[in-house]
Amino acid sequence: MFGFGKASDRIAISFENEGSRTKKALSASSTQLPVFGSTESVRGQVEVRVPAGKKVEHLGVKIELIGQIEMYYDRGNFHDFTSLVRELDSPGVLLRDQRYAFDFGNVEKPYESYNGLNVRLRYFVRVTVTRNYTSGNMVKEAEFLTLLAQPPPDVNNSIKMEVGIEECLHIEFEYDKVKYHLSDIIIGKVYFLLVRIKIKHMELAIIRREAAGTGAQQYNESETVTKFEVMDGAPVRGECIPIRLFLNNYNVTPTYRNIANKFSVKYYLNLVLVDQEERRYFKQQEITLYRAAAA
Amino acid sequence: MAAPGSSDLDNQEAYLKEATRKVKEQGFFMKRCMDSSDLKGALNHASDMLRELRTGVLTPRNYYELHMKTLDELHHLDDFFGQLCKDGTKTASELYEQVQACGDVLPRLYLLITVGATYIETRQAPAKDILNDLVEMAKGVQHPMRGLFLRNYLSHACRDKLPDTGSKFEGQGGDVSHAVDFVLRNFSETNRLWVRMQNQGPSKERKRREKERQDLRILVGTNLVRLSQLEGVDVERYVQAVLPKLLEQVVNCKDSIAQPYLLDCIIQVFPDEFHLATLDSFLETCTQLRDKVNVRVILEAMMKRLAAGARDAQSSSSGEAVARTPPKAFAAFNSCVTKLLEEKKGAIELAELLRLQAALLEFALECYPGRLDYVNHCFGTCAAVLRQDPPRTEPLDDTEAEQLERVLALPLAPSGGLGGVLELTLFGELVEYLPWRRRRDVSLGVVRAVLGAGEPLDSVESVEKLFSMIGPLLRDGPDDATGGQQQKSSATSDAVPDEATEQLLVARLSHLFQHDDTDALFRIFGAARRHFGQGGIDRVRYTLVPLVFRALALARAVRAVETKIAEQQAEEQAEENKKPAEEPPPPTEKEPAEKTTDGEEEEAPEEEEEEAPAAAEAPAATTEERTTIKPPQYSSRKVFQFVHEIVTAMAGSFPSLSLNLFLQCAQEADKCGFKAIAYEFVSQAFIIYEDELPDSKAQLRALHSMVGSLLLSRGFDDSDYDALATKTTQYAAKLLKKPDQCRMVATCSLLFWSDDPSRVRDGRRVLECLQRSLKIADACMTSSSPPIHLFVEILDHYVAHFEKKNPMITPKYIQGLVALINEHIDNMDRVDGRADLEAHYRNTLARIKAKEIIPLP
Amino acid sequence: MAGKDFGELVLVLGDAHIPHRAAFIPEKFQRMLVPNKMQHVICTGNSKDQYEGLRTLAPNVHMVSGDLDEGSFPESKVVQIGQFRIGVMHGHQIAPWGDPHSLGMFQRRLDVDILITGHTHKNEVNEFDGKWFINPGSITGAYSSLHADVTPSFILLAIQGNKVVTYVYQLLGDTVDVSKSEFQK
Repeated sequence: MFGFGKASDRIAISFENEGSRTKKALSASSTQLPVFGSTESVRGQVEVRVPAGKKVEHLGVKIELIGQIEMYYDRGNFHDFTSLVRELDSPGVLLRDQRYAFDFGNVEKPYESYNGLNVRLRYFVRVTVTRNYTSGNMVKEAEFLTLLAQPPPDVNNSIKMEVGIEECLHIEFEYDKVKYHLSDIIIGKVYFLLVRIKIKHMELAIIRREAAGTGAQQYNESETVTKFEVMDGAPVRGECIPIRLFLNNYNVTPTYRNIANKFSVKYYLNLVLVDQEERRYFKQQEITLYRAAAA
Repeated sequence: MAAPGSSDLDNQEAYLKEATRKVKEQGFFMKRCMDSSDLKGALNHASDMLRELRTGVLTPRNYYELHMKTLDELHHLDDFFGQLCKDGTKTASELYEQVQACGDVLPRLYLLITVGATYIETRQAPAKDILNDLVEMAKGVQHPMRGLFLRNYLSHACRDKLPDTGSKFEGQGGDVSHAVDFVLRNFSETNRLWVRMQNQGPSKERKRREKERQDLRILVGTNLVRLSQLEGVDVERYVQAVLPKLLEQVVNCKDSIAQPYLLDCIIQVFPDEFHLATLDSFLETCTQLRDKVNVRVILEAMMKRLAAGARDAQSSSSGEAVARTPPKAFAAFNSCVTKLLEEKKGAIELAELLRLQAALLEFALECYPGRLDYVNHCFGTCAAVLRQDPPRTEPLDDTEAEQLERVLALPLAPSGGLGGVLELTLFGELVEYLPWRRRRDVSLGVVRAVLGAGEPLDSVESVEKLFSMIGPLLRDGPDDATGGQQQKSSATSDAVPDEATEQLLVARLSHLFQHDDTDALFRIFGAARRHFGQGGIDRVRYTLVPLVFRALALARAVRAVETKIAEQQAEEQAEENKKPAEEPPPPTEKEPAEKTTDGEEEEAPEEEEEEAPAAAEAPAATTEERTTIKPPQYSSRKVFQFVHEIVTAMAGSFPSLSLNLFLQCAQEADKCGFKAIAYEFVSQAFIIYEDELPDSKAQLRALHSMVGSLLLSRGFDDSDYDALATKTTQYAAKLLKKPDQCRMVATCSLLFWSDDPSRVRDGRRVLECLQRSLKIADACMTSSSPPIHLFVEILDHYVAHFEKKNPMITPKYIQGLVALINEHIDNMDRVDGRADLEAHYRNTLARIKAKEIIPLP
Repeated sequence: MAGKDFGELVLVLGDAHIPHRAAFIPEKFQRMLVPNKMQHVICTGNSKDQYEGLRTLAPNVHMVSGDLDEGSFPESKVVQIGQFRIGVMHGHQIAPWGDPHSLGMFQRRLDVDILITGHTHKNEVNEFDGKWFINPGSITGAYSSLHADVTPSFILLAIQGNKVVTYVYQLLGDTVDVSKSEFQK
């Protein structure tokens, strides 16, 4: 961390209206962060605290706003797709607590914040109090989120498909749409046209597939977001089983396609039939998730 | 989750115990979360609790146990959800969505149903929509047993949430059609699951599976109960929207367990008027069932149900005849039965066919009392089924015979209300198919029915018809004959009382013979005698006796007619006044003397030339008819001859009875003015007395009757009377026991002193009797117990004759007897009856004193 | 037909002659003969077929042999009911049949206040010399050579203290006729 200094608890960053601003967490385990719109100005205040009776000599105070993609497999390989700097103070000595306002006006934030298995995309502001070599820089970062609402798709067909194993199992399934917003309900049906195997149960899984990097360096990772049992027991021919799944209940992101040429996140519905010998018969279908504008 | 294996069966108790423990535990946690308003926690624990119901190990009964325990816990959520909605913490729709996050379908659906009920209750959404959603989503459970229980919970949880007519959920929430739709859909799915159980698992476990299905059937039937409870389901809706769906399900499920069960449920849960309105389609369905299904049971249940309804209606309307069952119901059942016969002739066993007819018959009798044509129709169907070409050689087996017997017996039951048992054509043909013993039982039913109806039998034809129906009671059958004598004697002890009861019933039939015309009645008697006569001596002793008495009454009636004619002729003659009398008053037809049946001793009462016209007290039944009375073809003599033959035939086997009957005949003949006939009858009685009477008690009884009869007689010539009286007194003197002799001889004294001064009054003979009696009493004398009671009784006779002013009986005899008695009475030992004797003597003395016969202190 | 005020009720009947001379007890009578009303039944005989039926009517059934009973029951019986000694016989033993003098002889012999006999099929309630002679007739109206038309009848005795009230029930055509008489000891 040479050259970057260490995170200092003597610097505090606060965003404008932080108390009333929408906050969200990307996952259940992560902390809640303020959310900024795609072109929203990022403003706020920085406070550098100087303990009583001390002074801080510095070579300048600056604040950066960074949009960054980070690959976990390749530590330290950061790709900053946005990087803006504002000088807050020229070199000098601080004798007491000093406050600075910052303002990144109408800054463009083209991507959503994302926290995946091999990659993450984040936005943050970083305050650096540059000092001489011996004292080391004082640094403080404050992360924020950007979530990009998308308009509803113009075309949104249903997914309908007939699949089967000859003389063994023949089903037809249907999901009402191909594109779902994040609080959407997946409604579907499974028709059993032929059942010659002893089915034990049927489930619908949501699978997230993350592709990070490119070429030989590409890392693909699949993750089951949820397994949702939709049928218990063996149906007979002609049976039609309803599916209803509330996406709300799960931690999903919109589908990301080739973000800054660095990564993609895709979602699939996987319909799985398990027979009494624990054999699994499945069919995956990609669906597109998008973030709808808040109602 | 497969069907429980054999090891699972062994461990049922342990599984159940463990699962129950977990349910209790999770239920406890769930309630704790509820107490701290932790919805999420409560739902999690509820899900965990409900996961126990995912087991595939338990048998239906044990699963039921676990299910009930789980629901006990689950009910706590009802209030909790209700409260959350009420205080606004959550909207019902939020809850509805939230519970659907549960990853396992079974717990999810239980929770969904629980919230759904709350949701409907809040009326934040139309009941019909939620019901629709619930019943649809429940399809997620396709495991038959788990599905059955889940849907049962659905049905239960929503039972009071339906938008039924009059319910608070009606209107916005939908109407009764939605309620019906919900229940019907749930029923249909439930039934499909139930039927599916049949085809799961190895075929060798079929038996066990069928048993398990029977255990679970109530879960299906409950839905039908629900339907029947809907206020809004009226006849019209039932006809239009409910029954067609049910029947469709019944037919389409093609399951031989479900079909009879469901149809039976339909029969039981819906009211009669619904059934009557839909009988045709219901019956149509009955012809479309699997071959394995016993349609008879279903039809029988429906008929029983309707019949019971008709019966109730009748009794509640207090006798007022209500034709509640529409006339076409019989036709509908009948055409259904006919169709089954045609379509499944080979597949249905004969016994079942007969049972079916029995059921139809029972229905007809119950609903259409008195409809003989229906009964005959059923008989016809039975006959058609039984007739075969070539004719059957095998007798009916026991079950078949039992059913046929039932068919025949049903119209005979008192409740059958059928007067015209004799109008049952084909009865004779059908009864022929039965083994003798059963024919006998049926015959007995016929007799009871005929007696119960009390309708007169007024022609030879009807008597012949009746007797052709009850042959087994009138004679021995092939069964009875086999085994011969020794079997009979060994069986006597227990068989005889039974037979006696039967014959006592048969005997009553004679009292139903009626006809105003004496000739016609006599012909009926003749026919009856012919039939009864075949019965052998053990039957005749019961059956022919009533005929004797009927014939005696008939003789009296004929005699009255004859007298009337004689009077008429006398009048005419008096009017004509010129011609001398030509003919004796009573008709004197010469008839060929018939041989008596046993032919041993033919004696028709001889013709007498100068019988006086019958006593004037003969009833004037045919009075005041101006027209000339037709002379009876059968004279009263002929009738007496008839009874003579009958009694003569029995004399050898039943002497006491025959003797009594002869005396009865004699009394009647005497009354009719036939002294010779009367004499003949008395003579016959005397012959029996001498030759046949078994013991002294019978003799004593006979003598009493003989004395009484003689005293009653009016017509005998003096010499005849004297001969008979003398004979009787001789018999009395020869009785075995001295006291009997003594008493009887004293009694015979009465024979010689008539109250009627114009008749026998032979004081000497009276005295002879009394003195002889006294002598016999003397012979009984022992020192320890003098026969004082006999003395006192003889004294009574002396007193009586004294009072009758018999000059031979003077006070000195009485004086002497009193002295004799007084002499001994104080010495008498204290024996039983002494007080009675003293009382008797005191009474006699009081009488003597009152009549001042002799001076007494 | 019974009430507390009647005292002890005694049903008197006989000579049913079923099945020999009649098929049934008339239905109108059957309907009147119900259990738990009477304390005694006295039967003059020739009613063997009715014995079991009579036993359901009252706790005490006193039955004697008729001329056709072949000695199944005693020839005569004396029953004490309340203050009254009642003698029962069928009556065929008392010649001439139905003769008041002869009946009187048997009344004295049995030393009874009331002598009940049958056999004649003609109901009677008579008093001679302070004693009562009762004949219930034939309950079925059975054939008898003694009379042309027999009226079905039976008698009910209400015994209270030193008083007896007799009710004679006769079936005249289709109607039941009741006549009452009373006597005191």
